[in-house]
Order: sequence, then structure tokens, then C-alpha cells
Amino acid sequence: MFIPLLIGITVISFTVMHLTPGSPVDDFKMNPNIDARARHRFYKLYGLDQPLYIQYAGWFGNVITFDFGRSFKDGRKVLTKILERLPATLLLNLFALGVIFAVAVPAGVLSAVKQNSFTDRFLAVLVFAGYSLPAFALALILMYVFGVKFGWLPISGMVSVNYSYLSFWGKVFDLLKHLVLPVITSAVGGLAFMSRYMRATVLEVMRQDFIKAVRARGVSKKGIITVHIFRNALIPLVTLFGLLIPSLIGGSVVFETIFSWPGMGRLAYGAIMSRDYPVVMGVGVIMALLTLIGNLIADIGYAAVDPRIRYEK
Amino acid sequence: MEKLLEIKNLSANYFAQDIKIPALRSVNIDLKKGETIAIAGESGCGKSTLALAVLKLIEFPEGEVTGDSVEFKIEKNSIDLLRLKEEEMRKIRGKDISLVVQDPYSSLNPVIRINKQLAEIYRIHHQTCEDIDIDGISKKYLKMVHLPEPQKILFSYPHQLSGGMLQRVNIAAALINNPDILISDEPTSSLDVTVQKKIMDMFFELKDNFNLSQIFISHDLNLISAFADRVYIMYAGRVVEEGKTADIFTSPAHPYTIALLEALPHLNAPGLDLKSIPGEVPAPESIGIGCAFAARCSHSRDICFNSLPELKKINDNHFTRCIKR
Repeated sequence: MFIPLLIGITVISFTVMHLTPGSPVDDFKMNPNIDARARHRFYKLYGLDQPLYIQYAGWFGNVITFDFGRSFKDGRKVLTKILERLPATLLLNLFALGVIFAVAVPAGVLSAVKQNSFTDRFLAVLVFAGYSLPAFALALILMYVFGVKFGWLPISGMVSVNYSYLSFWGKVFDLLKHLVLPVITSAVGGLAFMSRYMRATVLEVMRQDFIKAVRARGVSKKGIITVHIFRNALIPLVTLFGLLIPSLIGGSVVFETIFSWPGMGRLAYGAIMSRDYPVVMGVGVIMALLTLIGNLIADIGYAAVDPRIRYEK
Repeated sequence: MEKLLEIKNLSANYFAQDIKIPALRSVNIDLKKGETIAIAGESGCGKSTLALAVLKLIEFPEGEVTGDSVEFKIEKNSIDLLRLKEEEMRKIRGKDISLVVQDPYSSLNPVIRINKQLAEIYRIHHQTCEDIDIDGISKKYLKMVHLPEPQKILFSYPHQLSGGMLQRVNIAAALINNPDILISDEPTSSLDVTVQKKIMDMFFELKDNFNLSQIFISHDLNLISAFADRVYIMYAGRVVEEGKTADIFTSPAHPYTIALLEALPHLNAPGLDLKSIPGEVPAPESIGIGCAFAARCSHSRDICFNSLPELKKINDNHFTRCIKR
């Protein structure tokens, strides 16, 4: 499943990328020292004059030996460029995932248990506001309020200028400070969605027949919520986890660009803008891989929380 | 004999949209120590609601339980369950009064192993120290309900067991705290006939071996005639007739009881058409002030529709709610 899916993804993104207007040599058009013949030589050098399927076959043949080619822009290896950006993206997304789960699960349970109460309605309004606000707008508001107005948090980059002079804990603190705004921005959408979903799931489990049977045995309401309902509500949550990862990673492109976060998303953005095909494809493959790995983890997690789909002797 | 449970004018309503649906209407039921009573009636007559109402498991926003009192004798003291706070009531559920629900497939948490679920029931009603062998206790009760390989079952998940096995686990779960009263709500109706027989044999055994008082809810009159000491016949949320099992089956007084008994198939008279009661149980919210059975009753007169008949005494134990008597 894994491999054919990956091939399908690359075929589509390869085609779409080449169908997009513009080409890697467009940048040179404005340069009076480079004439049409030179541009054509450039074209030939990169093999862009070949039919698309030949180009793809060539690219794919290299990729299976983990050779993603070199960037059109600076001639550096694509894999090297990606690997130096990957940790920043993973850090941001893992934090965002952590925040989503840490906030959405309790919030969802709380609003389900106190269904239709003030708490529930208040959380609903908050969540819908967060959900309907576009991430880039939220990012700008947060940057303005916390970065510019109050000056509490840095608004861009991953570390401060004096990072290398700081002590170990100073470095950690500096990094965390830079993480706050990007993490909040990328978590808000998923957070809103997850907490509403969690609420619906908990309500659904509460209505199941076995809950009444468990109550009839004298289990307290607290015990029912923390043990019986929670365990069952986790099951659909794990499936969602798999769906959340692609949207987070896709979102990285936007958030990282806004916050100048030196991650893979920003690399992709720059590469797309200058039609740096090898880099775009390289980032595409890695993102697809991360997504598929996320799904795999979700599948394994699914078996961990639901004994009914587990094989047991 | 001493009365263990005395239910006086117990009613229960469900809330749906803006209307109240009265599922149980002023029911009076007594249970003596060591006695087995049966609650019988068609689907929708309020039998299951009665079981839930006694344990006060119907609450806002789902519904409400009202009434005069539910006196429960516990060690010389008498407490009124209706007046108990939720936390005190919780300590009675599963400890002094246990319930076995109808559907064994939806009575256990699907994602927790049996041993953890049994241990939970034991633990919440006992002050236990950590090193007590709860699995050992659970195993004892699983053996008591004739489950083969209790060790294996203890570490299974509910989906790995059959309906009959699950119902036995449920009964074990209901007995694990040695309750005074066992309420079983159609414990065999979702099982196939051969398994039903085995489960019922076990109930007979429990009746003999434990000092258990039982409320047995069923629509199966054959089972009831073999199992219960006294019978309450319910119709549309009310008790229409009560009496000793023998009295009910040999000299039924209420037209509904008579009709129910006539609808039983007879083994020794094959070929006869089965009688059925015309019409169906009215929806609880559409019942007027009169006798709820009047519309289906062949003896009904105008007065039946206009006023509720009094409970009339036939003998010391036998009562019915019909003007015919």
C-alpha cells in the first residue's frame, strides 16, 4: 500500500508542477547578458526539453537510489537542503500536535460532560472563532499583539541573534520563546476541529447501552467518564490523528513563511516560486512520506486502543 | 415473611422534546426476603423502566423518577431509596441491589478486559488493600456461573466471548458483591433457546444456593410459571394484576392476563391456531384516564374508558385492577 501510494503521489505532483506556467529559466529572462540560446542550453542541460514521462522516469530512477538531484538555484544536493530544514519542521509540528491533544481532549470532554452549559457554549464560541479565523490572519494578529504591541515574544525566526552565546537552558528557553506563536497559529485550526469532534464522540459513547449497565454496578460518574467513556472516545481520536498530520504539514508552508521559520515548508515555498523542480519534488516526497508514516502510526495506535481490531490468539 | 423491598407509587417519566412520556405509573410492588417475583408483560409495558427506576438510573435530562417511597431493609434499618442522594444510591447499586440487563452484548465496556471490569465492581464497593487477589475472587464467581476456563475468560475482551458467555459474566458481575436483591431484566431473551435453558438452570441454582431475593423481568410466561413465587402483570406502565404464581396461572382475573395466557402455545394441543390479543400496547403518552387495556378488551364498558378501576382483592395475595371483579 505504502509504495504504490507514494508513486501515485509523485506522478501527480510531478505532472502538476510541470503543467504550472513558468519555468526555471524565467529568472534569467530579465538578464540582458543571457540570450535565448543560452537559455535553451540551460533547458537542455536540465533535460527539460524531454517529454514529461522521460523526465519522470529519470527522476524516479534516481530517487529510488535516494538521489534527489541538485537544486537548480545553488547546485547543492536536494537531500542535504531538506535534511537541514527537516528538524525545524518536525519540531514545530510535534509541538503543535502536542498542544492540540493537550487542549482539545480535555476541552472536548468538558463540553460533553457539561453539555449545553455555559462552559460548553463558551468553549464552542471560542472554538468556532478560532476555526473560522484564517491562520494567516491569526498569525498577523498574534504577531502584532504579542510581538509588536507588548514585545513579549519574537515574531520571526527560530533563534535569536545571540543564540550561540547562550547557556544550554538559555538556548532551550530562546527556542521555546520562538516556538510559541508559530505553534499557536498552526494548532488553532486542528484544535477547534478536534475539540468539537471529541465532544461529539464523548456524547455518543455516553449514550451507549453499556454505560447504563456500568452505572447500575455502582461506578461513579467520575469513574465512568475517566475510565469507561474516555477509553472508548480515544478510538476515533486516533483515526483523526492520521488525518491531522497532512493538514499540519501542508499548513507548515504557510506558517513557516509567515514566521520566517527555517523549515521545510519555507524551503518548499521558495522552491515553488522559482520553479526549482528538484527541490519541490524532494520536499513533496518527504512530506508524502511523513504523511504516510503518520497514517501508519495512526493504524498501529488504532490497534492499541481498540482490542476489537487486534489479532489475539 | 419480612418485606425486603417495598415500592410505593413509583412512577417514571421520560422527557422527549417538550412532552413527558409516562413509562411507569404509580406502581406498588413488594419483595420479601428470599422470594422471587416476576414482572410480566408485553414489550413497552414499563418492565425495564421499573428496573432502572428502582436503581434511580433515569435522570434529567433523560427522564425522572417520582413516587412515595422505595423502602429497602438493610441490616435492621429501613432506607428510602427515593430520598437517597446520588452518592449514597451509587453505593447500593451493584452492592446491595444488582441488575442484569437484557442485552449481554452491550453491558460490558468493549475495550476493557473482563478481569479489570470485574475488579472495578469489586473494588468500588470494598475498602481493599492493593495485595488482595481480586482475579482470584473474580475466578470464583466465574466458576459459580459455570463458565469453562475462567482463567482464559478473565483475560478476554467482551467481543471474544459469545452471548451466552457474556450473560454469565454479567451475572457473575452482579453477584460478585453478594447482593441482597438481584434484578434481572429479560436475562435470556437475546440468547438462543438452548443457551436460554442453561442460563435459566443457573438461575434456579442461584435461587437455591444463595439467600437471594430476585426480581425477574420477563415476557416469557412459561419461564415465569416455573421460576417465580409471585407474579406482577404489567400493562402500559401499571400493575394490572398481582398474585401467587399458581393463582395467576390457574385463575387469572384480569382480562389482559387471561388473554396473555390464552396466547401461549400448547404442546399437548397441536394444530390449534394461536390466539393473539387484537391491537397493540398504546403509546404511553396517549393513554387517557381510564383503564389502558379497555380499547383491546372484549369486556370493556363505557366506565372503563372514563375512570381507572380500583385494585380489588381476590384473596390475601391476589389483586387485580378491573371492574369485572
